[in-house]
Amino acid sequence: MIELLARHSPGLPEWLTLCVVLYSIGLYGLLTRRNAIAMLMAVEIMLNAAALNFVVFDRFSTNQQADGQVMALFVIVMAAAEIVVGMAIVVALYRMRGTVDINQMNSMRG
Amino acid sequence: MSIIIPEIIVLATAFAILIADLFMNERTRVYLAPAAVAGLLLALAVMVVHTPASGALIGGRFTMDAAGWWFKILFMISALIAVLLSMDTLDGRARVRVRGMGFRGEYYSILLFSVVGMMFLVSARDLATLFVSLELATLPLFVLAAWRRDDPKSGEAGLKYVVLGALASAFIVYGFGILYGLTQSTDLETIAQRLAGERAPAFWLAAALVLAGAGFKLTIVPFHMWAADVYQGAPTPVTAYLSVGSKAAGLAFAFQVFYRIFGDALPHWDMLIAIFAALTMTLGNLVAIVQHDIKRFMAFSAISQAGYFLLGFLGAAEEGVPAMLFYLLVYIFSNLAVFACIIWFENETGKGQIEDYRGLSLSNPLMALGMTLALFSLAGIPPLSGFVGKFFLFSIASKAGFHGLVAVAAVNSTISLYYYLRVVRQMYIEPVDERVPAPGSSVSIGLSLALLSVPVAILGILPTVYEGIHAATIAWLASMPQG
Amino acid sequence: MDGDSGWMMQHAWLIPALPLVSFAVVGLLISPYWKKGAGVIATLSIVASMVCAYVLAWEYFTLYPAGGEHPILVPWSFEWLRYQPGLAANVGVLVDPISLLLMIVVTTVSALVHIYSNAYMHGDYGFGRYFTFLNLFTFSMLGLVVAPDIIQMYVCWELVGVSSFLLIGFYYNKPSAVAASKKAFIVTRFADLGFLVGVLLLSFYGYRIFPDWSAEVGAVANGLAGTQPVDFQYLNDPVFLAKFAALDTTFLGISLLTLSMCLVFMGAAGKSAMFPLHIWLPDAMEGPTPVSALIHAATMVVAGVYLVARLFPAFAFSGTAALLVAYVGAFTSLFAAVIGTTQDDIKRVLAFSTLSQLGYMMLALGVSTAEHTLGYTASMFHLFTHAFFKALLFMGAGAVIHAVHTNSIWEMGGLWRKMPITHITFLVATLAISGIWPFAGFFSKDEILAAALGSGHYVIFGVAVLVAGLTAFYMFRIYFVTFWGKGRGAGAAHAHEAPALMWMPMALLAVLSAVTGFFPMAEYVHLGEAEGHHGINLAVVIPATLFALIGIAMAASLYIGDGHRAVALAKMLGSVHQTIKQKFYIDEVYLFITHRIIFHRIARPIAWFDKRMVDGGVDASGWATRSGGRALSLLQTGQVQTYGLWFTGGVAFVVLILWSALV
Repeated sequence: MIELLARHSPGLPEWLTLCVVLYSIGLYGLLTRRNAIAMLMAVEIMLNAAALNFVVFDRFSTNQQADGQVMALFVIVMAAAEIVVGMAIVVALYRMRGTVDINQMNSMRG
Repeated sequence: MSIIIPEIIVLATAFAILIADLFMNERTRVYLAPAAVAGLLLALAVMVVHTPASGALIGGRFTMDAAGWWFKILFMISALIAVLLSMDTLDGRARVRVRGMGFRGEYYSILLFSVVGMMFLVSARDLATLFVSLELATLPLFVLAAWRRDDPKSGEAGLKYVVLGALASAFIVYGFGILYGLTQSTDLETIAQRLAGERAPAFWLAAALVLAGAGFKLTIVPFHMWAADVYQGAPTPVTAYLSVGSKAAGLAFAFQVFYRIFGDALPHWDMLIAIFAALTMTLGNLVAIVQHDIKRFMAFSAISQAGYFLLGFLGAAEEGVPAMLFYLLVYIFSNLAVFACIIWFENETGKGQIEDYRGLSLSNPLMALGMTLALFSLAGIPPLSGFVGKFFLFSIASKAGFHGLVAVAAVNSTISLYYYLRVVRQMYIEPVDERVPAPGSSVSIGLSLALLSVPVAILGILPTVYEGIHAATIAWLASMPQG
Repeated sequence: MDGDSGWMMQHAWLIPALPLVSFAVVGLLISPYWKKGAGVIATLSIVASMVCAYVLAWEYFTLYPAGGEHPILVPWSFEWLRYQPGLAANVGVLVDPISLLLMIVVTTVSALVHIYSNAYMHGDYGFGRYFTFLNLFTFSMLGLVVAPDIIQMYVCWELVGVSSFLLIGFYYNKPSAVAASKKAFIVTRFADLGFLVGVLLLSFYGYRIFPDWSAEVGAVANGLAGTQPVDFQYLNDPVFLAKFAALDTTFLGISLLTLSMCLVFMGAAGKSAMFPLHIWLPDAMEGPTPVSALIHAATMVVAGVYLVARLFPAFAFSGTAALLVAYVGAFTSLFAAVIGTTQDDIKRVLAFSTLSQLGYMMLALGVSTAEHTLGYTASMFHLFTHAFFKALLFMGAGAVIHAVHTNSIWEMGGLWRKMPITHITFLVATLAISGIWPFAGFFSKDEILAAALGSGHYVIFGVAVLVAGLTAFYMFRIYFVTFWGKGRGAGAAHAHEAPALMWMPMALLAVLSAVTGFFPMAEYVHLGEAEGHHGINLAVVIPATLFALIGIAMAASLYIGDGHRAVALAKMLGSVHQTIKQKFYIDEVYLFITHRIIFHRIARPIAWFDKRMVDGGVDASGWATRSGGRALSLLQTGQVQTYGLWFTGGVAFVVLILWSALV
């Protein structure tokens, strides 16, 4: 059973494809969602895809220093920090404007 | 150990302010800004007097070099002036109160955290420290941009900044991931060695992602879009800090990326850099012409200035690096001088349109003079320092054979003269607006302007500073691993 | 510099720096608030600068006494801009006899004009602005004089042009003043184009020859390591000149050395108003009279002469270029003198007289060669004396205009009784310019004539003697008409003496005009071996003095007395009068050439082209720039998702470019 899984377990290309797909979903979400919170979620997906990228490369790397896993941890922490700041701003904006629709936040342009 | 002391001092000051704020009342909180200034001055003094120009800590993950020394000095000077410029607004000394600018302890400590991030950024020699310090430098800026909680514009600026900043971070970190995958290392030197001669498609994808991130910080077209809205919406002292600190950090990051990671491939990217330089200065200049809000105007001016910086990457590093560092120095002084006047004027009158500055030369000639000097320096009028800085950058591009680009840059300089003169014209030629009461004066802003005007006026004439930077970068390049 | 050189020598930069600081302080801080203070501070700064110049001269000539060797020193300089290693533009101060001479002339005349202006411009609108510009001019002129390299010279050259433009157009609500300032600026700018090309040629080939040169002369061993390819010391070096002249490259059969020298001379001719680039100077009299005294008589217009003198070894080496200088100078001198006899505006007569005297200086430079350098000394000597008596003439004219409120000599007359001091000083200056012993002009003119004769240029000598006579004639003509006879205009009746602040500088200049001729110039300014003052050369003195006396006699016979006597005299001397009329005809030709041909045939089409095409083009480009900005600003939609899209698109673009660059 384990052997079977090992033989059919996805290799580097499959994992990388997953990363790219996740990343693209995030990017697409960021560029299309009108809800500010949804946009922040999309960014979170992108950052997590990048973190996954590190883990994948670490898993398939020949040297066993776990640098990639450490990187992934940092990325997760940083992503959380960014989302915290972003959410705080969204909440403040919601209190002022009563909406989180990003299309209405265009008072400065030109 | 001694190479990290300035960072520790700034960090300790930041925490000390944050904690002291808890035990202080409104009256005693006016001492927070002097405390921040004192901390930065101490760190600067330690840096100048004590810190050696080279050294390494934590197994080479935190290092010090001559170019980094200059960068750190510039970061601290920017922050120092930014604190001085924020004082009036935060302490409520402005004649026209800016509402929602409270929480002084948090404000100054967050500002200092950002400086620490920038300082770590130039010392990073590892993907992890590079990324974390970049985020540490940037995240506080998101917060500062959205500082005025009851101002929708400030909030909007913060939201735009955080969304696009996070997007840029995602691009950078994905690029880093690919680099890690290609080289199986997070050490910059090892990455550069293993990348030498690399031509795989994954390599240029990674390069593109990282370059876009650097372009975001440096406000290179088309990664510049955030700058205008954020500069306009953020509280003005924050804009002042953003316009210089963030740009300096962007240049430091670009140095790390170009000279440490992609040093081997850099000569092949001349055309790319030239295209971006031309696009950036042209777009920044053209759009600046039609602006009315002075902060937005300065945003486009800052974008076009970023285009001039890029010229320095075209030639040999021995010439390009000192030229860029010198221009950064000049840009920081000139831009902060302009912002000193903008902040003072906003504090006194509550106005921020270019047309509001009319007759300033009569109501406050010293401020008008300082602003004129700084604007002329930005426009590159001899013999002010901006002219000399531009001259070095232009001559690098022309020596690298980009004569067309130099022509574009020269035309752009002319256009920029036109719009900088628009402001000067308002101050000197248009009659005074009688309805506006005569503006008063401010100690901290006047002091900052005086401190800034002197280098703006004389750096172009005294060659000492440039020679210092030149010598430092030669030493720095000699210490670089030859990829 | 070695340690034993004096304090002033090490701080020579103070001389141009004082007016610069004063310009900034007065212009930005003082003149908007304290009008009187602007004049006082501006004047004090120039006086301080003058004192510095005297101290510097004293130190220099203590170090290198008169009659001996006079090396070129650069006691203070730093590298300003470096284009590449071995090609840098320095800013510095060059000290040698001619730069000291010019420093003394410029600071002295400028100081006196500043003092005079405090009274002359009193109550004038733009009093502070006037002194600001005057300081700017003095700074630029001093910067030009002390320039150790041709780049600094060129920059200050343009600054001088700008300040001249600002001052000619000082009365900017007077259309003629605006037109004159534009004319002056455009004509000199056109000439400067030649100068610029000359500078570029010199520095380009100078840079290419530089390595050979420094190997051949052993630059490093001989302490010339700091020399730059644009320094005058290098450009005047015989080894360099020989290499430059020997280059195979030619242009229309002219050697490059001659070509670049001719181009440089074009700039000099523009600034010194040599034919045919002289047309701006008479019009420049629209500026305030003290400005005419300082800029358009004593200092700025001699910048061209100074430039030729500064590059004299190069001109002499070329030979052809020196001859061009000589003939252009001689022709201008005659041409302007002839026109001078016919003008009615007192300042215009003086302007043509300036042209004529500048021609004298140029011809003196042109006739001298590397072996026969008397003309070089003579030219500098005449520059020196001319500065004083011509500034005095303008100040006198200014005092008269101030008193009678008109420029026309026919509305003056009989002023000697009402303005005794002005009269005496004007007479001294008139005698000086006419070359009457023992006034200053006699000695310097004498030396120029001796140089022309000694070098074998007999035609030029003849022209110069003739011009001496004409000069005496037209100067005494205005002297008699203005000061003698009876008052003709309403203003002349109510004339009064100038205030003390005005007549005191004039009195001082009168003393200088009377005595500076005895100054042993050859001891101080010379090339190679000092040639002793040649004493009285009868072959020169007799014809020159004779012609001068004839000129005075003719002026006396025609213009002494009131209008009635002049008419009677004209009838009596019918044929002589007709001959003088012929000279009016030359004036008409001159007007015909400038107005009919240049303005109508050339300027009109150009103006049309300018209006329709050039201005249209400029407007269109301005419009296009603004519309471009407006269109591009539409990209900034304020929508964060658009920004994100641009960002992503940018990444794709980078990928594409990298792909095309690396594959």
